[in-house]
Amino acid sequence: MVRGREFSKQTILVLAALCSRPRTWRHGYDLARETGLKSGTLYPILIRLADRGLLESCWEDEQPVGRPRRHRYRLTSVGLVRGREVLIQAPALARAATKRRRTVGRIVPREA
Amino acid sequence: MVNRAITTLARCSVRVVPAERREWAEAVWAEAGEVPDGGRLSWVVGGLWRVAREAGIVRRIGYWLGVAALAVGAADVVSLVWRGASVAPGFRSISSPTTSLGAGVYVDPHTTGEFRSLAIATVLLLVALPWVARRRGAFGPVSDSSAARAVRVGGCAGICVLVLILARLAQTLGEDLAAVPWSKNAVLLGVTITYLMVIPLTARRWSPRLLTMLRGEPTTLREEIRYLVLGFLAVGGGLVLFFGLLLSVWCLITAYAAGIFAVTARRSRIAPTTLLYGAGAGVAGGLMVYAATWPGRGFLDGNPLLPLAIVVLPAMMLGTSAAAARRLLGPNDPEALRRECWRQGVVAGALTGGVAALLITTLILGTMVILHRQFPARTTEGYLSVAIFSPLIGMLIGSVAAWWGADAVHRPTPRSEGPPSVLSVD
Repeated sequence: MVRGREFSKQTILVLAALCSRPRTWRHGYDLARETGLKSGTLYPILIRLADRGLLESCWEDEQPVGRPRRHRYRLTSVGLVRGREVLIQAPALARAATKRRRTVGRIVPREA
Repeated sequence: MVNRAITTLARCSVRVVPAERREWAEAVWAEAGEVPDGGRLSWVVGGLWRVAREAGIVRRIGYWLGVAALAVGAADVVSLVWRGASVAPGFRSISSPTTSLGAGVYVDPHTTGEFRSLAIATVLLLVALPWVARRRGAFGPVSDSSAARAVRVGGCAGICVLVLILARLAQTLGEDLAAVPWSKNAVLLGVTITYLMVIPLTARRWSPRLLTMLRGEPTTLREEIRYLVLGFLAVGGGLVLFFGLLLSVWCLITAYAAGIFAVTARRSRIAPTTLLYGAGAGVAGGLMVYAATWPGRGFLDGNPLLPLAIVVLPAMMLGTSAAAARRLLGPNDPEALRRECWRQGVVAGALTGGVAALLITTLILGTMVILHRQFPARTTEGYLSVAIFSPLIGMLIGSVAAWWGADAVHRPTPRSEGPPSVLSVD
């Protein structure tokens, strides 16, 4: 019996983005921009990571002016350990994710 | 303007999502304002669609659309059949006498009662299908694979279309589909259930070493006599039931529905690849035979390519079964692997035969209904016997092909990094 890869390429990109700043709460569009994934791909990945206890989520505490409150995400401690393991096992994808992060960071100024 | 439309769309969509996933739908919507104008619509639509899929909404919508289609079909059957067997102008009913309703349409008063029983039976069947499909057990709910869903939806649609065509056939060509008395049907059903229960129970109690004998291990004379008696009962009883069931269209349709539900249920051990191969080959084979019979006027009467098509169909069953058996990536135990290969091969062959037969019967009878002026009144039993024998021939050919395929696949060699064809084997 062959065991399939545990995480898809897209999931590893999301894990790489979340692992790059593990203490920071991230929001969906920020992750989409950094990973190059569309919402239809990103949100199912976030849902599955949350279902497996690798991701925690919460809404912004205060209501900002002019936009709705955002849903924020960051890895749990288990998720961080697992994410780092996965990135070590897939170095090529991790490098690609880092390269993309740098490119996106240069082109589009990241929000505070 | 666009923002307002998106907001309205999102608010409506979010309300539809079940409570446990609603937070995610709201998250997609909350981010929409941040996305530049060019990609906002695709962000909202793509995100909400996938969240809805994750929440199983699409599946629920599909289920209720199917239920609605069944309800419409049931209503159509009742409206057609309740009035009794009417005969199109220029044709005579197979039973007599007939009463003219004017405009050349005749209604046979003697068969009206039987056709009303037929209408009730059809509606019960169509109502039972969605109920059985959702109930947890041997027949449902459906497996998670796309192949299983496609086979189940396609099979149910095929059965419903066949029911509608049979009802229409009864109307236009005066086919006497309710010729078998209901008392006989009830007796047949009782005998079938008893037979299906008694043979395995007897085999289990009386000959616990049956499997060892089938594997070729030495046995005593007494045991062999027992196997012989059991084999005779199984084969003889099967043949008797077979020809009994041949007369009952509704038993046949129920058997088809049960087979489709059993192989596509979550509890089933049939691999998605097997379902895909079997159903795909069945559709191709059915269309090929139908094309070869067109524009025949008798039972499977058509152009000179028909005999070739009828030879190609068993060859397709053989190839499909062998391919399904060889696709297995099983455990290291050769016996378990062999059993699994056999199971996949038999089901692939039966599915090829069953799907082809359903398609041939439905298309040919449908053509007869649409072009009824070109066809004389005739019985449908010839085509329905195709529907009975084709899956059984497929099972037989499939079992042979699977034994052959099992020999070739004895080694558990991984071929790709993707998920295995069969997720669990003994």
